[in-house]
Amino acid sequence: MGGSALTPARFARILAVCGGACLMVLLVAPWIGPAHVDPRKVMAGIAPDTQIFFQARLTRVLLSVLAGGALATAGVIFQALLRDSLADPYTLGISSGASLGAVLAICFGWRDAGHLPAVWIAALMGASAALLMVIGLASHGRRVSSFSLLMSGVTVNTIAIAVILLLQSVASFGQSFAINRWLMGSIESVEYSTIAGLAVIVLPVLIYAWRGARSWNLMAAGEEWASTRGVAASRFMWSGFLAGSLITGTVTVITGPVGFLGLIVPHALRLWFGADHRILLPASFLLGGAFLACCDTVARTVMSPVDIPVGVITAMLGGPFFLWLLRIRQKRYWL
Amino acid sequence: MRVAAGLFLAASLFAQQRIISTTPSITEILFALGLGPRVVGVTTFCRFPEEARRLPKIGTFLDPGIETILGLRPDLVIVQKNPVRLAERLRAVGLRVIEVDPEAMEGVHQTIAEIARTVGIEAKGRELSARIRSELDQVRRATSKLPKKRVVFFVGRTPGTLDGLIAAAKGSYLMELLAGAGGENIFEDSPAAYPKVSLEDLLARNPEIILDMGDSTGAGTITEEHKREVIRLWNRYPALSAVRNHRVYAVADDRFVIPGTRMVEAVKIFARLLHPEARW
Repeated sequence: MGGSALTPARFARILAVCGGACLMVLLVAPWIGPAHVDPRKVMAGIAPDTQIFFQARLTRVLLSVLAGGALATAGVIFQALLRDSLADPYTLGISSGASLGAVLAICFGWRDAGHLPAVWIAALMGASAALLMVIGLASHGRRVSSFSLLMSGVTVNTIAIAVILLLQSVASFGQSFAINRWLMGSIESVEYSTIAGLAVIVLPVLIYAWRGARSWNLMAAGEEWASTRGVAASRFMWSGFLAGSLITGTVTVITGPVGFLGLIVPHALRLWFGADHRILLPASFLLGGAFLACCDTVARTVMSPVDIPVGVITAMLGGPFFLWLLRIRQKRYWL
Repeated sequence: MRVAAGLFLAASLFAQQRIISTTPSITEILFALGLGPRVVGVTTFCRFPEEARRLPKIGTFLDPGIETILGLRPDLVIVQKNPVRLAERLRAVGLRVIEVDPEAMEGVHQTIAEIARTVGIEAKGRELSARIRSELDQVRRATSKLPKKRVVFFVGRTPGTLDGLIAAAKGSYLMELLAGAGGENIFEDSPAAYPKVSLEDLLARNPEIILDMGDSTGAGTITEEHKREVIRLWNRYPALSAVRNHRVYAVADDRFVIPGTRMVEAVKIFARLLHPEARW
């Protein structure tokens, strides 16, 4: 394993560094963007600077921290759960289900459902449907294994993608723009109520996952191993799967599938801090969020007025960084 | 020898009695040239003119049925330049194919000329192009005296939200049409023709007029109720002067997205939205 043993002092130190980095991004990122914003005008409430800052930009930064943190944590959970280092929040078809729902809404021209955009509702229903299918396919009675989860998840994923491609091939000009944009995933300026709603769902699940960190350490080594150490493996797998799916699904409903982050942030942090889930889970949330907020800042700025899909930036910035990290730490790397 | 060549030319000109169009643009141009009675196949997206709807369908622009095309026994297939190598594939099965490129306004004129030349009605082609140019000039003269309106046109976004705003920008057909109607594109500096733009950039650039085709279902029309919904969405941002001054318009029209001979009608629609006071 990478890193040294986790003493309380080391735990506090790592958490302080990650928390500090996240806070710094939260404070700096809202001041960077394609439009010039004057801090004095923002504070004085003068248009359009105030609107640009509070309605358009701060909401993006908050959403990206929350979404990035949630996806990185979901990545940690799925990698431990499936004992597959290539697993990410999207492996088990939840996000493809969400995307299929969204694409259906776009193709059939559903716009509003109550007070929320129909696309979100449809994506939520799609994610739930995918989740139920995976549960139905993967379970034998009340038992489940990482192998059966992986196989059923990947299959549901493939089917959902096939239907998306079918719908896309018959969509009109305007619809195919909307579908493409959705599938690229992006961080948008949403309303504060949306961010609050997301936080209410995601944060308790993250805390729940963190409390099971010791069991995750054992699960990452193997189900049988964990069972001999007193972890109720099947029940723990179910709760982990549901937790990971819940946060992935909710985030995907709002941002679409933002790739790469959930795969690479957990691996980078394992190389950095070691594979102990007690520190890996909170560090992934804090640095995953900070990383996505940085990427979104680059995405909205570098090619202005073109807003680049944030998934492009996560891969282009994160990929080389990860390769470098892998190269210098290779000897100590062990999942 | 010369007589033989002349006879061959005449024969090949008269031979074009069964024409297949592979895009709505081409169909529209064929009918405008009076070649409608010779068209024997169109795409599923060809909705104009009315007669075209009743013609046999060969599939879509990117996914045409080669066997269906062969079954219609065409002696000329007109293909729009595309990435799926349709022209080569059709030539490989022994069909006569010409490739045109009506992507922009000038491309439409070139397409008119090429089709007219191929079927031997050059004069008619010149006449059609000249008529389009003179009508466009009339609108341009009427609007050029007025101050240019700063405008943005959204071709796509996530339905029911203002997320994923895709604007028409520099180099797009839509922006050509809007320029012809006295509009100034607020995303003139974009390196992409259809960029995704951010809300903050829109707030900062603050257009006078917003044209929103983002929610269109592809039917080519828009209901009054839908128009009200779109305006309600935009009302969340009263910092935009287009919102404050009630200059947000939900639009949907095939004429905006199908480059063709109806460009005159499209420019006139835009000129009425941008400059209601202009007369031509």
